[in-house]
Amino acid sequence: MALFALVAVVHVVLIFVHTAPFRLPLRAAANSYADPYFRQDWGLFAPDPGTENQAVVARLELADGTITPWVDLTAEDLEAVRHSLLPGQVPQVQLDYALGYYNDTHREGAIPEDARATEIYLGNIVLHRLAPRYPTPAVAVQVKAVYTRVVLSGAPPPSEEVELPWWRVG
Amino acid sequence: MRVLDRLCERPVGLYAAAALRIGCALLVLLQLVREFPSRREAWGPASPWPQYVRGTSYDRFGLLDLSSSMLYFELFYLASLLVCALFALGWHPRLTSVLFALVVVSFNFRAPMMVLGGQRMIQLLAIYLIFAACGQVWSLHRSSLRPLTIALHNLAMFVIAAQVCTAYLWAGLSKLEGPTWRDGTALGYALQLSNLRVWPELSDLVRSNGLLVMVASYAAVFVSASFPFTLFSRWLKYPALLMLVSMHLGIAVLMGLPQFSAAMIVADFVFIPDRLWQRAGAWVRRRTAEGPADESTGPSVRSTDHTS
Repeated sequence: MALFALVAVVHVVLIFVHTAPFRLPLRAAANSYADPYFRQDWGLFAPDPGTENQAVVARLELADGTITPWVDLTAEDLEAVRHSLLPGQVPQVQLDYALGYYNDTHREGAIPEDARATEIYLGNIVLHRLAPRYPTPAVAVQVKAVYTRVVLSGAPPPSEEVELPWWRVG
Repeated sequence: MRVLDRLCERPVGLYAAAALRIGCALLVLLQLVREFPSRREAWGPASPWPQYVRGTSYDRFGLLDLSSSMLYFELFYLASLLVCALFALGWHPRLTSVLFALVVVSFNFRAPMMVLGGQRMIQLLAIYLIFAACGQVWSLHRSSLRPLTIALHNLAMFVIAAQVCTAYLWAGLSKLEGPTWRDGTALGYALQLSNLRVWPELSDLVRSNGLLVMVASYAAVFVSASFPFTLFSRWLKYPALLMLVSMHLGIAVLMGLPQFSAAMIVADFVFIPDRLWQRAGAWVRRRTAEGPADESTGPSVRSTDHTS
């Protein structure tokens, strides 16, 4: 009994350390303990809510050499969840989070395997959405990330566009 | 030690445990029904996130990574719907609690980059509920309560309460560093994030009221950071819970995150004592008692009989 009580208390302490917004002692141990079943992050909108909107715009290169026009996939997602009492999870987070994870894993010091995985993931999402719209199969995808700053009043500054490299399909 | 003896004597919060079980099970059931049309794109064998990627920080092996056959996926999805329904009903809760946790973990592992905060909370609750006696009331089946199961139940309820407190504490304190939370404009930015604007007219209406934005921004930080400390006082606890629930209802509409809000409200159930659940249960039964009252599945005050 005492053992179970001890396990419970240790668990609570490790979760407390794992989720703390600042580095507490035992942070590394707590993180590896929590991952994957108890992994969590309660820094919601912290330290600040995002101050820019992001959009994923994408195009394909088809087998016959055609480059398709840019399509704003984020705008389609936003349209799908607008005025929905129960927004669908796929349009609400799939593409949006994918770009977030892509950016997180393409920073200095990120693990190359993670960068590769998020690249495949983002490419697959775009491919799944765009490829069925054309009769010819796609051979490559390209993503353009568009970032627009959020301002409290007045007109937002011009958007910043980042074209990611072409990714071969398959 | 006396504390340890007390731990095995009386199960605390049997009604809260049952409410957590029903709440979590119904939320996941609703989610799976809601996502049924897009289930393959979200979690199917050919969904964008490859099955079991090795060598990355996202290595997760759940039951949905076992097979790449579409038939397996479809059967797993249907079985998951069934597990959620049976767990909500309390059909052999010892067994279904384990199956339910497996279901929740497997879906989260299959699409690690799609997991919302609410789904993470449900996963934690589902794992803790395996150890809780969550099928003693409002349940088709009941298992016997031995000293060991009582102790595990009490520890599980303690862990759930501590888990929820930790989440609120850090959610509040982690905002203190942010300049926009400090000057009370944070909500003004959040309401303009396009992926959260499910009801843009409402978001703009709130945003146009600078005072409301400021009060709500400060209140969000204060209420969530202070919540764990209000639990020590009966006079503070219930107003704090009410404020949290209102905050979550606001998030559900203004941030377009009803799943997250509902999961957090369900998590708050752990703080409602048995006598309030009994009163709520009695009220529901009175309201639904058109036919002959059926007491067989109704709550009984069993919890005090196990002190022997």
